This record gives sequence, C-alpha cells and structure tokens, in this order.
Amino acid sequence: MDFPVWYVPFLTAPMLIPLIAIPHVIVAQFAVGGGFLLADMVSVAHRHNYRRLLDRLKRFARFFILITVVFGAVTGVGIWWTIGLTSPRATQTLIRIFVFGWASEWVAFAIELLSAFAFYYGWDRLHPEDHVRTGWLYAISAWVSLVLITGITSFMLTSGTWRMGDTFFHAFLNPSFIPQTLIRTGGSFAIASLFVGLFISFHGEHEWTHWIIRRTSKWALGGMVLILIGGIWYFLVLPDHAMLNIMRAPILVVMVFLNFGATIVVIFALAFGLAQGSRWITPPAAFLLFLAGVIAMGAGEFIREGARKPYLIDGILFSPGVFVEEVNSLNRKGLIGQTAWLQFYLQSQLDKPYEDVLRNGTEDERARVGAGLFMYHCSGCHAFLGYNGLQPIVKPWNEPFLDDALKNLHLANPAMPPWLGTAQERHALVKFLMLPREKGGLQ
Amino acid sequence: MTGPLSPTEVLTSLPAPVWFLLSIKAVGFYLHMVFMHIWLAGIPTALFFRKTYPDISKRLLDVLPFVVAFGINAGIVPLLFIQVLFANAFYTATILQAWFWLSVIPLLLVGYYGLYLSRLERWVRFSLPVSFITFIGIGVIFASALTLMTHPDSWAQIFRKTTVFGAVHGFYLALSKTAVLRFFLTAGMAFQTLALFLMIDKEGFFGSKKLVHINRKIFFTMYTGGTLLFLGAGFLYARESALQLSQLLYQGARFSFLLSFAGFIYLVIRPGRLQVLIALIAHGVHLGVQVFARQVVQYRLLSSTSSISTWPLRMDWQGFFFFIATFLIGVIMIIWLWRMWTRSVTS
Repeated sequence: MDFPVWYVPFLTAPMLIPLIAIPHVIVAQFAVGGGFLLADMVSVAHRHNYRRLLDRLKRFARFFILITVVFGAVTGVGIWWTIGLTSPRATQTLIRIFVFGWASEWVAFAIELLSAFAFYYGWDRLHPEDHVRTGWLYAISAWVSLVLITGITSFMLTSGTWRMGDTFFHAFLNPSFIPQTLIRTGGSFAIASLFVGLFISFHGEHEWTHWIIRRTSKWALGGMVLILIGGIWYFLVLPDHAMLNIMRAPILVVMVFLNFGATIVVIFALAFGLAQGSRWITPPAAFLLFLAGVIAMGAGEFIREGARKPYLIDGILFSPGVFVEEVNSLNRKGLIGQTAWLQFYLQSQLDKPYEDVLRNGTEDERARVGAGLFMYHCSGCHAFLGYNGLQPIVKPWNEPFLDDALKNLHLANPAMPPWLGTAQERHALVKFLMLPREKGGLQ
Repeated sequence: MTGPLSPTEVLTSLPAPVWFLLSIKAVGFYLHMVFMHIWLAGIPTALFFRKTYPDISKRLLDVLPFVVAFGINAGIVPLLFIQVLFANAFYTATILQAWFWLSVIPLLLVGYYGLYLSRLERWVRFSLPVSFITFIGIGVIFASALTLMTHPDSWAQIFRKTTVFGAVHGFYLALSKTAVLRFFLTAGMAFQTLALFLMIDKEGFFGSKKLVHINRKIFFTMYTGGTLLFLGAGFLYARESALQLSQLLYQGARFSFLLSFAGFIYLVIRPGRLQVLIALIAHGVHLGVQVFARQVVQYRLLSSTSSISTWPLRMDWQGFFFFIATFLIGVIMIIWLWRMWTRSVTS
C-alpha cells in the first residue's frame, strides 16, 4: 500500500485494462498467426513463381503491417501503462520477478519490427529466398514474444509452487504456461485466418482467393486442435479457487458458454472453408465469423482475469494490492497504519488522530475514515455506484449483516480477499457503506 | 534458491548490480532519445516545410513512421528499468496525473496513424497537424511526469488538490517551470540531431538522393535554432538543478556541446565522409553526456525516496543469462537482416 489509489468513478480503474488489453490481445495474436500464414503462402508463391499470388499477398501484408506495427505495438505498451496506474504493486512485483523476461521480450519485439519492415518493404527487392526467410523470422520472433508474455500472464493465474525469492524459470514455467501457450498459438492461427477471410471478402473474387481460403483454413484448423488440447489441459491445472469462481460467478459461466459456443462456430466455419474454399466468403459472413473469433478470444481473456480473483497474482498478492503474508499484520495493526497516503489524507480531514476516531468518533467521522478505507480496500474491484457497485449490493442489508459479511468476506465469496484490517476499521467501512445516500451521503 | 523471503525483501532487492541496471537504462534511453529527437523536431519540420521545402518534408515523412516504431521499441528499456530502480517515485508521479499519463496511449495511436496517412499522402492537411499536436502533447506529458517523479516534495500538495476520500481523481498535469524547461531543452537538442541527420542524408549516406539539391544553409539554420533553444532552456534549467551536477559533469557537458557544434560546422563547410564521421561522433558524445548527466540528476534527486544503494543484491542469474542469450541471438539476427538488406541494394 505504498501508492495512492486512482479512483475512476462508475467504471473502476482496473476496468480500463480490458478496454486496452482485449483489442491488444486480438491484434497481437493476429500479428503472430498472420506472420505464419504470410510466411507460408509467400514460400509457396516464390517456390512456384506465382506472381499474381504474390501481388495479392502484398496487399494484405501492407494492411497487416499497418494494424500490427502501429496498433499492436502501441496498445501493448498501453497495457503496461494501465496496469502501472491501476495495480502498481502487482506490476512492481511482476517486474521484479520477470525483469529479464521482459527485457528478452523487448529483443524479440525489436526483431519482429525489423523483420516486418524488411519483409514488406523488401517485397520486390529481396532475393526470393531471403524474402521467405525474413517472413519466417518475423513469424518466429512474434511467436517468441507471445511465449514470453504468456509465461508472465500465466504466472498471474497459476503461480504453482513458486514462493518469494524462488528462481525465474520456476515462475516462468508455471502450471498453466504450456496450456496457455498452446491456446494462444492456436488462437493466433484461427484469428488470423478469419481476418484473412474478412480482408478477402472486401477485395472481390480473385483467381487465388479459393486457394488462400483453403490454405489458411488448414492452419486455423491445426490451431483449433492446439486450442482443444491446451483448453483441456488449462482446466486441469486451474487452482481450486479459480474453478470455483468459474462455476459460481454468473458472468463467468456466461463467458465460458460464449467461449465454447463461439469456438465451435469457428471450427465448423473453418472446416467448411477448407471444404468449400472461397464460395462462402461474403463480407457479412466473414464479418460474423471474425466476430465469433473475437468473442471467443475476448471471453477467454475475461475468464482468465475473472477466475484469478481474489488474487492479482495467484496465491501471492490479493486484489487490493496486499501480499498474502501481510494479512495477519494488517488484521493486527490495521490497514490505515500501513497506508501512508491514507494516513496523510485522514490527518488533513480529521480534527483528531484517526485511532481516536475509530475508537470513539462520531458516526460522520467514522464514515469519513470508512470512505478512505473503501478506496484502498474495495475500489480496486468495486465502484461505489456502477461496475460491481457496492451501494446496490449492500442497500437491502443492515449494519450487523454487512459487518458480518465483511468479517467473513472470503468465506462468503471465494472471489473476495479476507478482511484486511482491524475490527474498528471494518466498523468504519460499514458506517460509510450504510450512509443514507438519499440525504447526500458524505460531503 | 535461498528459501522463502518476505515480499518487502524481494521488492527492495536488486536482480542485478545497480551499475548494470543504471547502465542498461541509460543505453536504452540513449537509443530512445535519438529516435525521439528525430520525430520531435521532424514532425514540425515536415509540417512547416510542406510548402516551402516539399522535398525535405517528403523525405521526413518517408522515415518518420520507422523512427517512431523503433523509438517506441527503444523506449521500453528505460521504462522497464526505471520501474525496477525507482518504482515508488515512478508510480506515484504517474498516478497523481493518471488521466494525462494514460492519454499518452490514445495520443500516440492517433499521432502515429496520422504519420502513416501523411506518408501515404492521405488528408495530409489534416493528418500532419494532428500528428504534430499529439506528439507535442506526449512530450509535454512525459516531461511533466518524469519531472514530478524527481520532486517528491510537491506530491503532497497535488494529492491534497486532487483527493477523493483518500484516492486521487487523476485530472492533474504537473506542468511546472522545470518540466517546461526540460521539454524545451530536449526540443533544442532534437533540432540539432535532426539537422545533423538531414545533413548526412543530403550527403547520400542513407542511400537516398532526395536532398542533394537542398542548400546546406537550411540545415545550418536549423542546427543554430536548436542550439539557441538548447542553450537558453539549458541555462535556466541548470540554475534550477544547480546542486545536482558536479563541476566535472558541467564542464563535460559544455565541452561535448562545443565539440558537437564544431563538428557540425566542419561538416557544413567541408562536407565529406570523414567529416560525417567526426560530426556523428561529436554529436553522439554530446548526447551521451546529456544522458549521463540526466541519470546522475535523477539518481541524486531520488536517493531521498529510494535508497537503492543500500538494497541487497539478489542476482537473478537464470533470467540474466536468458536475457543475454536472447540479446546475442537478436544481435545476430539484426546483423543477418542488415547484410541481407545491403546485399539486395547492391544487387
């Protein structure tokens, strides 16, 4: 609790992450899959000297570069921006554990950029063999980038037997690393194939359209096999609390159905594409299928994020940015006592020390302390009014019930962390949450 | 393996020696700065020369999208290592002005696509000014955030102004006098770097002959303008941070600047292969000293909030060797790409 909290009303600050992360994941996986598809098709075109196919692919490559190099790169940095603002302690921890993993990813990203530019801008200039090699270099460096990032994000979901101070590879090669790598690799082939279909649908029939669709469908179906293997493996290694969340939380149940449903639609479409070639490709059909792919991918990311609760890093760091080891100390000494910024705020707001207010302050004074506690304990996941809003949840409750719910937070709901503070602090939070809003609440 | 540690022990230990982390951060920043100079001065130059010197404008628009791509890439390194070394100060400063800091991402997206549109000669009258505004905005936000980071004494005041029940709303831009001066100092250096880049390009060193007919006086004027801006802002900025730099570093900065200036003048008067090399080295040293001085100032200003010199070293050997291996493979790949590219040019 070393940092001030950024409060975003209605939405909550962490909900800004998916706004950037989901588009990024889709484009980043498109960048990986598209790289393999392009390298493969360019190899065939050069081998048989299919000039018209090369021309066709060049048009796609230009579009590909504009999407991946700009949008993919900027939103990738954007995720870092948002996690640093919304969960600084988790970001600091991940960076401390994986600093050289991230540095290695930077190298892979640099090669990805250089080879992407060389591949596109050297289209009519490089020797065919070199051109093909550059394409494969791009595809492989983009995939290495995917693997490195997956090692870090999968650690957030399944830290396994890693404990503070353990080694880099112990953290990197965590239980869900391989299944998530398989899923993301497969997903990248599928989404790239659907994107190719969408691109082609807007560019009219061409002598190579049929061949391109059949070729990319093969890649994508191979990708779907990886997704199936990775998906089963993924569910087998999920921690108990994550499985429980998936079964309990209605939104996650919906997301699982969306994910499975959209995946099945995509598999059938790809199989159909393989059999029928480009005959089914029309802009609306291609768009709907691409949308199905995006839904499957977005839902998958949402499940991963949602299932992780109450942790930001599985078994290590709770959502409010509190380490598991710190819980006992917080319960004994209080959250405020270990949160410098909150102490500073309360000093400027109260006429007496916050300890006195907690012991024998007026209801209003205690509610004011409770408001600060809400910011540092709850606002990481809950808005007051809005996304996951607490006011509508607690409205029908009375004080004893709310106090009991907070006391047994983690027992009442496995997606919640335990109460992180003293009993007096809890009472203060109850006072704040029970304030009659219709009378204006805290001013 | 040393057994379980407390989170605080992990977060306040270093994965590599301080000198290594600071050096890699400085090298990354150096690379980032060179690219950043070219876009910071290049976008306004491309915009304002569009009618008067369209060849310079077009040439700049040819290279700017690549410059931005590699500049973003190089920027990852200092950003990563600043979070290892100065996490407390960095996160606090950016959270206090959260919305502005976050707006860097949409601004960059808009500005970057604007550059591509301008390069493709689509809606240039609109896209290039938009890129200009967005990149200036990004520069100002960066200057504000990184200046605020090294001024923890002003955090409490901003917190008081922007607090919502103990949290902050993040609608605050800490555009202090120091931040403005830093921005102009960088802008001055940027015009120097751009003038040198264009001068070398004019001599055909980047394989293009598009600027051969351009009068060298233009680049001289550009360089002189940048120098005046650099000196003016630098003088005022040095007064602000006078206590933070040693006499040796002051003299080094002065000497390297004069060296760079002389190198450029020599190149303008007698263009040639040797002169290009001399000017490049001199300017490289000038920028290097600036980067070094910046690291020293940052380290000294932050030593009050972050006592990294006392943090224990818990070397992450696995991660370190993994990075070194990836880096070496990367260097080999870059050399291979470079050789392949030059071979294609000659054939």
